[in-house]
Amino acid sequence: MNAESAAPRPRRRATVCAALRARRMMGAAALAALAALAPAWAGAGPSGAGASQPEGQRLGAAPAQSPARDRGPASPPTGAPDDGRAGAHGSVRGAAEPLGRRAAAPFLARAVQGADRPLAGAPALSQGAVRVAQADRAAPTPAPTPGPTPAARLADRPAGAPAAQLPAQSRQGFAGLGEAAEGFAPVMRGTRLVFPRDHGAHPRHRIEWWYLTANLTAEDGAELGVQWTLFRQALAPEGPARGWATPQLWMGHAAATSAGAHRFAQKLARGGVGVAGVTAEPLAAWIDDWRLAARGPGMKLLEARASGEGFAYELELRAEGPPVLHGDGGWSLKSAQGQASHYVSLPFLSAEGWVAIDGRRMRVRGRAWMDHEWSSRPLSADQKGWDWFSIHFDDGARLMLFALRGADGAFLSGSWIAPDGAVQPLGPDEIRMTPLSRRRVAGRALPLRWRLELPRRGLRIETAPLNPEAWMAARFAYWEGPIRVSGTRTGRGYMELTGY
Amino acid sequence: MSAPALAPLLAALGALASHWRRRPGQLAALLGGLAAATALWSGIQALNAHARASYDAAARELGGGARLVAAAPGATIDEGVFAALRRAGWSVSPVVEGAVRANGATLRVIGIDPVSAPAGLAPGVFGGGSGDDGGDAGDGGDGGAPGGGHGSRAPGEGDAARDLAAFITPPGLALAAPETLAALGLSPGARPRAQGGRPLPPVRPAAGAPPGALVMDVGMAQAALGLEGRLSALALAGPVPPAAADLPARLGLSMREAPAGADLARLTASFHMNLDAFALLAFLVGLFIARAAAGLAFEQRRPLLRTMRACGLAASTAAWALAIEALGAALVAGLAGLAGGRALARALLPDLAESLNALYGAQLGAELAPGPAWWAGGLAMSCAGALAAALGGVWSAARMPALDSARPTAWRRAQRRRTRLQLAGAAGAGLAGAAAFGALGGLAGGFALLAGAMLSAALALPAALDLALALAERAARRLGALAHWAAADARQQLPGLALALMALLLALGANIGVGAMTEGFRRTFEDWLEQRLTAELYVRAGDPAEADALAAWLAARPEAAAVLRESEARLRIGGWPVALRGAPDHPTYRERWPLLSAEPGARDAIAAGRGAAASEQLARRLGLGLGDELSVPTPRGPWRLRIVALFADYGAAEGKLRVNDAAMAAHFPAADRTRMAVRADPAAVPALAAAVAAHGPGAPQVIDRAALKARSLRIFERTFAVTAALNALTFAVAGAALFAALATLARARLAQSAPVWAMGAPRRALVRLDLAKTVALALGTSALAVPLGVATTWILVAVVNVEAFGWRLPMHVFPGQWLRLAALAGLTAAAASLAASRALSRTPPATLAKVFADER
Repeated sequence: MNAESAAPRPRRRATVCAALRARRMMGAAALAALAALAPAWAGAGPSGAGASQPEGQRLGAAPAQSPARDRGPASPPTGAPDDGRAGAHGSVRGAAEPLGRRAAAPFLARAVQGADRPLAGAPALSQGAVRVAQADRAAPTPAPTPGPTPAARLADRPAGAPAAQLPAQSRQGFAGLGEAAEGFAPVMRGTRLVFPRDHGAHPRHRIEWWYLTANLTAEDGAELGVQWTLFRQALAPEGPARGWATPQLWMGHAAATSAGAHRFAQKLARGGVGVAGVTAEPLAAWIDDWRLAARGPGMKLLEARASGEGFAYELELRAEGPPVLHGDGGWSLKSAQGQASHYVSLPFLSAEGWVAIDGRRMRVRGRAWMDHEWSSRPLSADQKGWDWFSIHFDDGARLMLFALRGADGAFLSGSWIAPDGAVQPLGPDEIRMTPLSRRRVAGRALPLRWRLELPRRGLRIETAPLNPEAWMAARFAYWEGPIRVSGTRTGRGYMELTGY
Repeated sequence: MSAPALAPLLAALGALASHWRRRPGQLAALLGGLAAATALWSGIQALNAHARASYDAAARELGGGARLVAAAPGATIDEGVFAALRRAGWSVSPVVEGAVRANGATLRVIGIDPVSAPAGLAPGVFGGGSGDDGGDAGDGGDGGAPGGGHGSRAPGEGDAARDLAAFITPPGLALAAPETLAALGLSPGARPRAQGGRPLPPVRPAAGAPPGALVMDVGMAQAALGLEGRLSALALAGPVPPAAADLPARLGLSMREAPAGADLARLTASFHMNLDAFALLAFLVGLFIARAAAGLAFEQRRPLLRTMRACGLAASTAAWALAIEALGAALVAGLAGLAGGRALARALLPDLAESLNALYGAQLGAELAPGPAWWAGGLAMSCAGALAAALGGVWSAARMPALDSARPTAWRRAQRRRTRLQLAGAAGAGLAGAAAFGALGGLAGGFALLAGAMLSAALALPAALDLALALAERAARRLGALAHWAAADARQQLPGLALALMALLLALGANIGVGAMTEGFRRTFEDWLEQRLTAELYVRAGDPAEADALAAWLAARPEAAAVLRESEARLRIGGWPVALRGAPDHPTYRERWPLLSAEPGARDAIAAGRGAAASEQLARRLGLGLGDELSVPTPRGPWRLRIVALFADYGAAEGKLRVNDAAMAAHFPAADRTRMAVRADPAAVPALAAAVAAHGPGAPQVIDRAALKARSLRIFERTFAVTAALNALTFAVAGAALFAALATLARARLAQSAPVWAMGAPRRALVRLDLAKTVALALGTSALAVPLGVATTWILVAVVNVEAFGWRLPMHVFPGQWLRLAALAGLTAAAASLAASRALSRTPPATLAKVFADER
């Protein structure tokens, strides 16, 4: 009513409120979307077949032996729409992947709870969310999977067994990771990776991550673990759009783990405006104030830092060995159907710095392992999750193993890395992975102790978690934490369990 | 009193209840009064609680801070700052705002980044079933079969994810409230074009979107507003990182509070206190009804109580029975009242929401959700009211001698003592109110004074009317026996009607007071708008560059006589939000800008940059007077200004300081200079307005003087809508009280009328006399309500308004309004008495004769 305030000037106060309100409204969707990373991009359903075809073909050409080496599919994507079980199982490491129903559903359920807040203008949303949540609930959790138990499958599956008929409900794989990715760059066998360029981002691929884990020891001898991860997910094939219109979403996960505590945090950001991103020369990956970057040219010296509620760390990483290309020159097979990713590791990093957990700051040193992986369709349709290991043996060798749990058994792969950096891909018939005991964590029965065997190498080791509660209760949840290794060789490493 | 035995208590309750069975009207008055009191009280409480909860929610949403990182007022921020702050650990999220003209309307564009929104937020406008086509919302507007979209997709696909992708990737989405789209004639999926032909994103209805706004991705909003690479502000959603706390300052930015939380609560406190006071008044009026009914019932049941006491009922049991009866009534009426209160609150919420938005920019949620505390509080008020109403009866019953005579004329006998008590009470209430005003001061003191005046007048009313009737009785002696009897009978009737008349007096007094204040405000406001809106056109450009271009363009137009650019900066002085406005030294302001008071040479002092004019409310809040010095914080250090003039600024919640534009530019180089007033030939205004609206890429907002004035007045009307509604309700309740009292008295008065009839007065004459008496009492009450109303007006205008809003209004009185109200009161009384009179006119003579047989 005041003449001046009634004048045309925008009512900033109201606007701000409105904006915040709107932001709030959008926030849920954003998170859901990130978490669920996207069906939208996966979009193309069946038509994606074309894009991924080359992988399949390649697979046919060089089937089983191709060492699949990666750690699991990375990313994830798409919310496996059709399969209730997918939700129950899925998740994984990546942000990218994440997205599945399982990832999305808890969030959406929360969103529904919030729906009665005054503003919510959103009956429609609620319905949608409820629908998803119900679908998820309706889906039984892992137990119903027909066939052998995962353990049995892992241990007994004949190598190279064909992907028998997939249960109808798992057409598109865990979290939709198996969906086709039309318009995105395919992962081609024979692609020659060039560094440092390929340490950077590959926005034409749908999914990508940079993943650092470190096994550390404090001055008082306490064992610690640290994780730093940045996931990239493209909402649409990269086009000419720049700035805010860039179709890239980023998600960061960081954690610090001791025998008695596990603290983690998550960050979300959009690409194109500098809040998150990765450059190759020199390497710099960041989201907000978290950072993993080279100091100076090359990859000789890096730094990593992150912080969240109850933890913070800053590490200096020194490369003491060469980068390692998994699989066939960095082409890492992920399923018998030919899904693959590009997968590069820096397993020979020494780490030094400090970690603070719950206010207690400790000087630490130890060993770290950095992975970089990208793909457009990393999982086959029936793969529900994976179990992945990276191990630093005390004698200087390194080992990476993973099992991708599919409908008819697990797809096993790995790399044996000699102390001098020489890599030997490990085929499915060279690997035995047997869960020894399960423990309920966050309501799920997780196989936290394993026996890992490479019979031809005489390797027989058992792993035990430093902290069984290393559960990453992020938008999509998974287990990721330091492990101790004993048996024919000793060492330390990291384990990742997804899709439980 | 000790707890009674159960059997006698139940017997007593049964006997007492028989009274209500025979007099359902009285019961209805009792329950209705309590229910009305509870409804009015609890309805307002629900509104106030809802408003406060909305403020709290607004504050919470922002992580408790409601803080913004912003550049100088009006200036935009380079979007690189967003990344710089995020990378330094600041949890900020970008906001772009501005206006576009599209489809003939000015729309606010709000750009947000959904991804940097804080976690754990409520869901929003994205819906299940939304398609890629942008047309969903399940309202069938897109022609799709309801729910059909669901079946066409695999379950569980992330609608939210699709929505996000659709929202942030081209062409994007523009979310708007369904009403907004309807007003613009846009159907979902349509792509309105802003001026200059720039297409906006396809619209999608979203119930949660603010009215008149398009909410879109920050990138889309930048493009729509021509603000590529720029942000309006950054909303802070988390704690300030200690290690980089000074980063905004180093980037030339500052932290500001978005007045969503604490400020809102503070600014609106007075507004809500006003409502509370009204609610209390309404409660008291309702209580008068209940008290009248309960008191009457007690008097009428004296014989019954005497009989029960004679049969051996203990006095304490009788008192318990009355108390339990009152509580039972309170529960029944309380629940009904709560239901009514909820309905009332729902009905008033839209007006209240608009008022609060217009006055304070507060956003209220659309759904009322009163909690358990509200229900319990309402019932407690109802019980307290019922006990207060029944207290006299309970007290008397507990002390009543067993062989007390059943005195049907007890009122009359007790009247003299009661009158003395009431007069003492009136004096006491008046003094207490004045004392409280002196002691408390401020708004609370103002209300205390108001309450004291009202209570005092109400208590003094019977005595005043009795005095008037005594004089009338003396005068009527000369007019004959019948007139004499009528006057004496009116005095006799007075105690029975006193409470209803008190309620009427309060309602009339409040009506006169509030009506005069509102009407006075309206006139003052209109005059003030007339003087204040001196320019023919008011324009605001989207950004500074556009403003410069627009000003230059306007200056070159022959029909624009002058372009007066104003600058603005927002700051806090003494904890209060203040808008500092700079204006050029121009005859438009010199000659026409109205000032409340000014030092000699004030205009020159302002033009020279030495002085400032302060708004009335700012001066009052900061305790400033003419000649005082004020230190204004500026980016270039404190600016000492002398307050050389005060001006009225009705309706503004924040304070204002007006200074010279050039002086302001020296102290606030980055002040917002997007606003301008244009003097033009009135005949050329429509064409010029259209030309301005179509100018440049930024879609300047433009409004002409008439439209601005109409808009201001409309907001004004809304602001007082709630007050007016309560006023009318209070008056209606008072009318009901009068009606109930008269109806219940009718039967009892047979004993007074019968002898007159027996002496030869026809029933028709008796009816006419009855009517005349009642109307006379109502008119007398109206006459007494006038001084009360004037006093109320004065307190509202000179004390309450000043404290609540910060401005003082000229005092207006409206005799026409008094006459209207008196007529209304007379009519109400006539209508109320008609029912009773009809009963008398139809009473068979045998019944009248029977009175003598029944008389005890």
